[in-house]
Formats: sequence, structure tokens, C-alpha cells
Amino acid sequence: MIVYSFKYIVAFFILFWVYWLLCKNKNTQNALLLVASYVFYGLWDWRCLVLLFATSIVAYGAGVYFKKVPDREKTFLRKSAHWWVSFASVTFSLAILGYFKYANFFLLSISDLTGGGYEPLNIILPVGISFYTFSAISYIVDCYQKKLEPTTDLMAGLLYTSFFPAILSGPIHKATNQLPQYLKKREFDYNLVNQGFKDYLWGAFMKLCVADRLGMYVDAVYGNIANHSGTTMLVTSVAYTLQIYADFAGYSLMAIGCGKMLGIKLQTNFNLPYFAKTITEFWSKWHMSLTGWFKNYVYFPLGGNRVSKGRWIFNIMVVFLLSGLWHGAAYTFIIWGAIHGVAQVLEKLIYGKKIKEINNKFSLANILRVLLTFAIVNLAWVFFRIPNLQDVFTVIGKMFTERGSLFIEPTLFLAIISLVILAVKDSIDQFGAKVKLFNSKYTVVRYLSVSFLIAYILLLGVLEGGQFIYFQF
Amino acid sequence: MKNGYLKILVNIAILLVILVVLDIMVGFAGEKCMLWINKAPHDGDAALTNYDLNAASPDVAILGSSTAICHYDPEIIHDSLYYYTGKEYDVFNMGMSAQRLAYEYCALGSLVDRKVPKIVIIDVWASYLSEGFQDIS
Repeated sequence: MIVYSFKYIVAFFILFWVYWLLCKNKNTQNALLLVASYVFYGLWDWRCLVLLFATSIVAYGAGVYFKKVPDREKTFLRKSAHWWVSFASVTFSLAILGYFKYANFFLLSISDLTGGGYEPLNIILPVGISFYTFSAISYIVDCYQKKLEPTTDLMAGLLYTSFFPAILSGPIHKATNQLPQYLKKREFDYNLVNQGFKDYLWGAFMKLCVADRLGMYVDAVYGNIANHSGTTMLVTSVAYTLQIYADFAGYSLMAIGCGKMLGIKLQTNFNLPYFAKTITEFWSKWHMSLTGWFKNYVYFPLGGNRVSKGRWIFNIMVVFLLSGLWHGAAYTFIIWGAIHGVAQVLEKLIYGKKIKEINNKFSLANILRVLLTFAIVNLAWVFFRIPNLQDVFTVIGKMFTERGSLFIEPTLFLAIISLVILAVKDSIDQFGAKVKLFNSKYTVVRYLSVSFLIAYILLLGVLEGGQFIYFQF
Repeated sequence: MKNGYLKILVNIAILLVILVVLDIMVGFAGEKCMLWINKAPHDGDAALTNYDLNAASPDVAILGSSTAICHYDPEIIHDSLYYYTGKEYDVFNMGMSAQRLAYEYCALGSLVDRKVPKIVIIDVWASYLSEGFQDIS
């Protein structure tokens, strides 16, 4: 069930009223959300429920152990009992993720290196597995590090990992922010519900009117690379860069909006990333929940930047190579991560500590910085989008060497209209202009802007479109 | 809290009313635009398409792509039919350049709505079976 489908909207509408009118305490609220989450996830593939439950219950169990059993120092190999429990539970979650997502990739890679003929295992990739696994690990580690009081509330513990708006494509939960919300009764807040509805609506616009429209053009071109010109390749690469932003940020907003309507605040995932002036800044604005996760659970434990320069560069590269691998089991994703890692290392070496002094003022230098960052990100997305390395090099080669005419499809014009609307909204947010439509102080403006947006989505949205790009991760 | 629920219900009701009004307005404007567009072309493929889909009502319809336009002469078919049957048949070539079964299916559907022709000639050639054919089949 896709989150913008008619079925989902009807189901959510019913859930919303049952949740707020009939669930009078924390337990009934959690029970309803838990059932809804498992039904929602089971509709994708009921077999994957086992994995979700196993990952959730192991994380919950580790928390209960931390709470109930006092830690014993240096039980085995100079590590404490709690360390071993957290190690075992994190390993368990990663093992499930590793088997279902990466087994074929690694076996094929070994097979390529050794020259052995290897038949891929017949493994399904459970949707959203990377997202809920990382959320579970966040809970285990935060509890182990005593940043969070572990919960013995089973429903809250299970719901933390499986909350349905975020389970398929994030935002990845940070346990310290998320879990406490399930441990108390949610009170109805009209303003929060209202804002949640507007977030959902804007997310739907980004997905259906921008991402899916651009996607039709991108798919048409990348499906026939040999017969398109360099000019078309260049335009398509930019189209994909905008598509993936609208797609993923759109889904995140819809998830955040649904969460707000149920009284749950999910983490902000995007903050106008294409206005970033450096790659470092880009990663503080793009997929913020994943960036935060890698920073807290990989970069800092490796020593962060409080180490030698060589080790610091190593730490950055490890984070970005892992980030690439997290996105998919393919060399192209690893190269995508490496490009971001190298770019970030280079700019930190070039700028030094001055990188923090770059201001947000509207200046020529900042415009050039934004364009340069966009160009690097744009180039890296080509590796992200095209699964075959040879095709990637063909596309990039054509971009720089061939000219030729631009392939034009009518859908491109519809996408451009929506892109202009998105660009105006993002520019208003970036530059702090006082123009407000959804949140205008005038009631008429609020109602009309929401109504026009709904009508626009119904008229020009790709309602029969496919899935979200990030579901595959 | 009850006020909050009520406000949500009122919001939904107001949005629905605005959407219905918008739907009627967009529908009205769209219809006027289509009428204007349909009246506009006097020549060329657009005019021919307009005539095929909205006005043509021959006894014998020829459907196909540019090969149908070039290879079926309505005058000859009309004369031949008159020679063999002694009756006047209104023959019209509804072929359209670069179109395939999807267009023909649509043109035939709109024709049947107006008048069921006595004979329909559909010009099919080899590439129909390779491209686009699967979509409509």
C-alpha cells in the first residue's frame, strides 16, 4: 500500500479517528499503531514480518537486559556483560541485514575475483530493512551507553522500530528522540495535526508532480542511453538530481506529516540540500537522519576529527563508503559514496577551519559555491542511478564530448511547471521571505492554497506512478 | 479537544466544497478550451483528426496509418461498390499518418457511437505486430 494511494488515505482517515476518539490511554494508542504498522508492513510481503519482529524483539530484549541485570565488569575478554549483549544484538541485526541485502553482492564479488561460476541465492530484499535495522541499532547503542533509559514496555519497544509511516523509507529513528514519545499518552493537538496534513500534502506534491514527472523523462532517456545526445544526458542528469530530491524528501515529508497527525514527531530529514555551499553542508541537509546515524554510531566511535589528519581522512572515507554500501549492494553505490567522501576531504583540506565561517549571505562567491556543490552532487548521482559502470562512463563521456539536440517530451513541460512551484517555495524557505500561503494569517489564502494544491496534484500528478526510489534501500 | 475535532471536520467540509467548485470551474474551462481547440484547425492533420473523431460517419470506413491514406482511394472503392451493388455508399479514408492500432481503435469507437458502418477496412502491416501492437492487444 503506497502512502499516497486512495486505499492508504481511506485507511489512514479511519485510523486517525479511531486513534483519537477511542484510544484513551497510551497502551491502547500503542496497540492500535502497532497493529496498523504490522498490517501495513505485512501488506508488502507478510513473510518479512518475521524479520521485522525478530529485529525489534532482539533490540527490546537487549534493553530489558540492560535494565534488569546489573552490569558485571570484564566478564570475558575484558569486556563487560552489557557490552557482550549489545555486541550480540547489534551483530544479530546486522547479520539479518547483511544476509538479505548483501549476501549475493559479496558472493558474486568473490566469484568474480576467483573466477568461479556462482549462481545468486534466491533471496528477497525486505522493503525498508536498512531503515528499521538502523533504528534498532540506535536503540541498543543508546541504551548501552546510558543515553536512554531502556523500556520494559513491550508495545512501545516494538512500535519504536515499526511505526508505519517511517518503516519503509525513514526517517531513521534516533532512539533518544523517538522512544520517549511512545512512553506517554499522545494528546490531540489541532495545530500539530493541521501542520501534519500540510506536510503530507506538500510531500505528495513533491512526489507525484515533480519526482514522478521527471522520472518519466529520466527513465525514457536512461533506458536508451546509446541513442541520446550529450545535451540530453546533461539535462537528464540534472533531472534525476531533482527527481531523487523530490522523491525522497517528498516521502519523508509525507511520513513526517502522518506522524504529526498521530501526535508523533519524526525527525526532519531534508533541509533544502541543493542550496548547500559545500559537500559538508550538503550532508547536513540531505537525509539528515542517516547522516546523524553515521555520525553518532560510526564516525564518533572511530575518533571523529579528534585524531591525526590521516586517521581523520580515513574516518570520513569509511563513513561515506559505508553510506554508499548502505544504499545498495553494488559498486556504483560505493563509488557514489567515495565521490562524496573525497570531495568532503578535499574541501576540508582546502578550506580548513574557515569552512565553518562561510555565511549564508547572497553573494557571487556563495552562488559559485552552490553551483560547484550542485555539479559534484549531480555527477555523483549518475553513479547512483545507473547500475552498470560501463553505462555510467558512456553517459558521462557523452555529457562532456557530445552536443546534439535535446530530447523533448511533453511530460518535461509539466515537470518544469511543478519544479518552478517547488523552487519558489524552497527559495522562500531559504531566504526567509515573509510570503506565506499554507500558513498565511488570512484564512481565505490558507484554504485556497491548500485546495489549489490538492486540485493541482489531482490534475497534473502521476497518480498511477511507481514506488519511491528509497524503498529499495 | 472537542473543538479541535470539530475544526478538523469543518476544514474537511470547506476543502471539499472548494474542491467541488474548483472541479466544476476547471471542467467548464477545460470544455470551453477543447471546443475552441476543436474549432480552430481548418487544415492539416489536426483538422482531419478532429473530423475523424467528431464528425465522420461514412458507410465504408478505411482505417490505418499513412499507408492507408496513400493506398486506398475512396473514389475507386465507391465506384466499384456502385458497379457491383447498384447502391451509393459513402466511403471515407480515416487513415492518419504515423498512427497505429491505438488511434484506429479510438477512431472506430467514436465512429460506432455515431453510426455503425457497413464495411470497415483496417490496413494492417508487418510492423503493427512488432511495435505498439502489444500495448493495445
